[in-house]
Amino acid sequence: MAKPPNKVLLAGVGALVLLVVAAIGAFTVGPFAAGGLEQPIAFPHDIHAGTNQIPCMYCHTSADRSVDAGIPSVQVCAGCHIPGGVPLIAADSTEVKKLIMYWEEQKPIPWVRIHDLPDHARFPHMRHVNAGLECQECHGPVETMEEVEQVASLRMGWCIECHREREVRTDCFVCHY
Amino acid sequence: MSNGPNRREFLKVLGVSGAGASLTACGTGGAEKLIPYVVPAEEIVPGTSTWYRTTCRECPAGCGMNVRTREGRAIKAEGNALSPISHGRLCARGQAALHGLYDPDRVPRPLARTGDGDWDVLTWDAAERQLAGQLEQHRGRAVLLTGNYTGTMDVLADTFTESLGIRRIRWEPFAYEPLRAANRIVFGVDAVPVHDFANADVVISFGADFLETWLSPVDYAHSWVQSHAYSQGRKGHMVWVGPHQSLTGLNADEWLPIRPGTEHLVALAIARLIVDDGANAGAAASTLAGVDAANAAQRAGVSLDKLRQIARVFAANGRSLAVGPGVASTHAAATAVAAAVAILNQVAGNIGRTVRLERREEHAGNNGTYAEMQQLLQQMQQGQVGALLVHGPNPLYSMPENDVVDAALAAVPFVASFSPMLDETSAKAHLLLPDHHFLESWGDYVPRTGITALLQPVMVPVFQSKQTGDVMISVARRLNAPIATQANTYYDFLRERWARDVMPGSGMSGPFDDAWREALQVGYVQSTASPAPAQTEQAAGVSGMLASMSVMEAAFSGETGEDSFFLIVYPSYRFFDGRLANRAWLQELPDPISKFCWSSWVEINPATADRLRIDNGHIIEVTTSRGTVSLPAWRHPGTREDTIAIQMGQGHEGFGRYANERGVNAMRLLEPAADPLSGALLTAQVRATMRKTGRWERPVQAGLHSDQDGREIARNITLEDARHKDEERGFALLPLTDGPQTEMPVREGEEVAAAGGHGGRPVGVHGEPDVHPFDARVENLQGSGGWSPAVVDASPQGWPPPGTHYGEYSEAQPRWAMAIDLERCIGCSACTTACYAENNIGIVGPEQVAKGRILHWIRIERYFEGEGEDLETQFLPMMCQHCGTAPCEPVCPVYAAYHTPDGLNAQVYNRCVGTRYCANNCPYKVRVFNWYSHEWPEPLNWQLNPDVTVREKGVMEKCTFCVQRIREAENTARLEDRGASDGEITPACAQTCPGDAIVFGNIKDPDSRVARVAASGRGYRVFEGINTQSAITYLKKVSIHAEPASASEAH
Repeated sequence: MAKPPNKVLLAGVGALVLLVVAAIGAFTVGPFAAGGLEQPIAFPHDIHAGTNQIPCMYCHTSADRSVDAGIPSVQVCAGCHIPGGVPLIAADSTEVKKLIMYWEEQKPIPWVRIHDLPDHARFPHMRHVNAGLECQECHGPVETMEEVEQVASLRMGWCIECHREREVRTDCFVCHY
Repeated sequence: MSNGPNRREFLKVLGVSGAGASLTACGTGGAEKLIPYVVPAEEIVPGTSTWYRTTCRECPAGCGMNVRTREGRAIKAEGNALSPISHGRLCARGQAALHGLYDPDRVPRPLARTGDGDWDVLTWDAAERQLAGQLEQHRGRAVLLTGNYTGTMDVLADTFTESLGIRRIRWEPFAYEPLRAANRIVFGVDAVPVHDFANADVVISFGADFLETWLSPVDYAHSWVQSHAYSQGRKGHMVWVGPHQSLTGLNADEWLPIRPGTEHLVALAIARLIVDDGANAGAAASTLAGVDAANAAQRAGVSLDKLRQIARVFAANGRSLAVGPGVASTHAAATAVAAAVAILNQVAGNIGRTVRLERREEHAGNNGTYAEMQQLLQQMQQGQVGALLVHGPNPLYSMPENDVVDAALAAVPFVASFSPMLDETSAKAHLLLPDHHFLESWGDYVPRTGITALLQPVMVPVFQSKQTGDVMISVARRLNAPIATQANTYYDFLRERWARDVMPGSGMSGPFDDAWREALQVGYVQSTASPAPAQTEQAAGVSGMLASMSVMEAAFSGETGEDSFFLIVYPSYRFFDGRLANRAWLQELPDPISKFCWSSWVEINPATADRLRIDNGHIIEVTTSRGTVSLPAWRHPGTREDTIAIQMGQGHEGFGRYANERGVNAMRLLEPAADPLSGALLTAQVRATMRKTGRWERPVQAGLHSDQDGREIARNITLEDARHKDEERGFALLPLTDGPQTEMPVREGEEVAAAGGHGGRPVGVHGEPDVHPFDARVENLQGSGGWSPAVVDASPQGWPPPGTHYGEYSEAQPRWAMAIDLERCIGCSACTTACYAENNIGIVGPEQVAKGRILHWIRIERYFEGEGEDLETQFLPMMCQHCGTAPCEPVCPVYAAYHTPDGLNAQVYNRCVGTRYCANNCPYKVRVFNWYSHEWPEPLNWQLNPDVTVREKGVMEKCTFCVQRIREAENTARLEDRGASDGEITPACAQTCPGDAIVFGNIKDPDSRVARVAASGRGYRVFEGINTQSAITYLKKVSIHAEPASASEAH
């Protein structure tokens, strides 16, 4: 007959496993992931940027002239999907219906942020875009993603590596102030 | 430290970038939301700034203002460089305007008082209905009490009141009644003159604090510095005449500490002495004939020789200006002072040159007087007023007779207030109709005859307030009042009036919309009509008025004797008349004179204090016939021995969390007495006694030490030595002459180009006549490297100096540096508030300030030397010196303090673990530590600059040379495929400085402005001898009190 498991030990081992998992999780999931939250609208980047070949900057308009790439206004979405107030493209999809609802109520869509740098790091998009970097180099192959996920770690070491390769300034005060 | 989620909690920073992300901050367990616009505003690009032009209304000066907005929120105010009033600068009050906009204690929506004293929330419709009903009920017995309305608001208020049978009273606590009365008597013009300080080499101020609050302080400070600061070997001269030195007095070259109430005697004596020297007295001859200069000098307690000397200087070169009286010298003979000053200007030939008397149809001339307010109170108490509408003034706080005001308000059946804040007076109101803050408003303002400035909203209203102009139009419509306009909003009314009156008068042609847009972009329009010429000949009857006053000093009530002191109540640079006491930035700003924060103090001459055994921080009871206040003592050498002074502005009893119960209200010590000739409130009228309470409290003061102790931090130099040194360096100097100066002085830097010099020639250590004893060591320390201005050539080739082992200066990088001209620093501290606004500096509150934990990154050191007439005050802006060999850097165990290749001394917040070794090792004491995480109660946090990290508890911080502005300029330049040009980067402190004292740039470029200014013969570095190789070059103040270099040392 098998000895009944030592409950205390089991609990201890369980806690340890949980801790390890949590620790690994903290290091692998990436520090600034969305935390499992769902996007208010399941926006498929693969259809827009992949299938339909819409350039990134059609929606993220200020990436080459501002520190912020810019999140498209609801008007930009409506411009294609509900031109002139008439539902047009994919109007029968449940997700587009959500968009129509936001537009009709004139409410902003509360997107969940995926790529989130800590606030003590300053990342000017325009410097990188104008240096000839493809968006994908940091954001991954977004045009193939049904749901966008963070591919690069966005850690400082990762930034520095690229800066070193390209012989760009690496002193702290360039990004941290 | 792990980079895990806890770190995020640890460094919870607010500066968020991302479209609208800052609108929501973050909420859901670490995941931030990105809130896009529904329909994007055309002008807004997320992550970039949008600027709007408007006009500052924090005081009646009306400076042109630019407001920087990010994602639809105002985050920084700066001066409009096109404005002739602000010259691109702002004072600390203007800088703090955003704290009025985002004040968490603003009245959020219309409120009506219930029977039990609580407030009911109303809709705007209900509130306006109530107001209309009351006006209907009290038709013919209603009064509208407004502040300094000019322009369209003035027109609308007149339209509104006339159509509804409302009486209108205008009252500004500082209405300069004596100036207007005297100009009426002497020149027949009921006007406040415009002064041209930029063309006045010699200025005598009879108590007019024109660098702080008087009339147009930013314009006057800017202009005065142009003519006064050393330039091309010349320097202006300023004499302060008065018993007490305010900030303007501390900036004077000479101080005549006259007995209180004798300003007019001194002014007339000087005028008489000028006439005795041969000047044409003109119409003033009969007045001056009766003046006995010797008697006047004796009564004022100054020597006749001194007056003779001043008279000679004043009359010498035809570029002089006398101003006065100020608010604080409004005594029973204040109108005589103003008349005497007018006569003094006349005999010196200044009328029409440095003093312009123009009819001001729309400006201060329309203001009422204190005496009229007293009448109103009487009528209120007698039940003649049925409804009182208040917009602007706060009589319950500002008038000495608060008991009378209280009773008068209680006697009025219906009181409505348009105040955006629940101040003392509006707390007594029955209905609150909160006005927009001026940054949310449309409007215009006439700061000076001929200039009409525009106000436009820079953001959507923060609260559910409504512009008072809109309320007036709406209420008039409800009552079917016959107001002569088609407009239904104040905006339409404004445009209507501009199309009808303003634009045609300013020569704007073409379609109105184009002209309107252009006016909004410039910020103001200028009238093309020449101002009505004022009569400059003296009117008859003046002699009689003056004759009665020109022999007697003004009386002060109260007992005389050794223990009875003249009490001076003077305006606050920070709070004006008290209306700005609810701005946390201004409360936290050390007062430019006393360096006290958050409190009041009584200024006592050190000799008197010694006699009474009073030290700084002793709690003193000051008693007059009107009342008693207790407040800490502060030994102010700029006060006469028989005089004490208390500043206005504090002691509020209901004005929001930042103003309430801080310090004392000095108005409570004054008798409700008016000047019989002008109707002005007398601020210099009573004597006070002092009683020691035996208590001592640690002064809430940010600069406890007023003595340099021979450390030579703020240095000065004689005019002769400054000229000599500049001559050695090959700078072109103008001759010292008594004759009229035809050219405008050129500011330093430009003079290098004028002299054909290459500029930036470094100052050799040898030949420095006033070299500090341990400066000799500098040479031996050169080998330890860093940037050494003492020996290297400023050319890029000489960079970095040989033997450098420290720092990683790279050849392609600039070396950011500053030059600060102490001749141009007036100590006003606008830089400090600008720095708070730009850099998200925490407000620590009085307890922490008293512990020395104030977080300012730039402070104005204020040192006194000498006493009495020889008192010399030196101001010095002190911030991180960005040393080449910074003592803070090697002691940081985590490399949080380090040197950047472009010469900045960086502090990396995310590395800092708070050992504070760096602060301990900093000889300049410019590093500050966050003992707590500081909070900005909603919506004050809306102001935070998203480009700057908000620091948390445990982090060291200090001046960064506004690195975010450097990076922004670099980013912009890069986008345009060029390098950042000289002058493109201006730190917040340099940007706002009214005197243009601070110059920033790349000192490696010999043609940069900073390199040229730093090459001055007056240049030195603070604590040069300890080889910090700082990046800031100070230029010595040129002072008549400076020690001349002896002939042998000079060569």
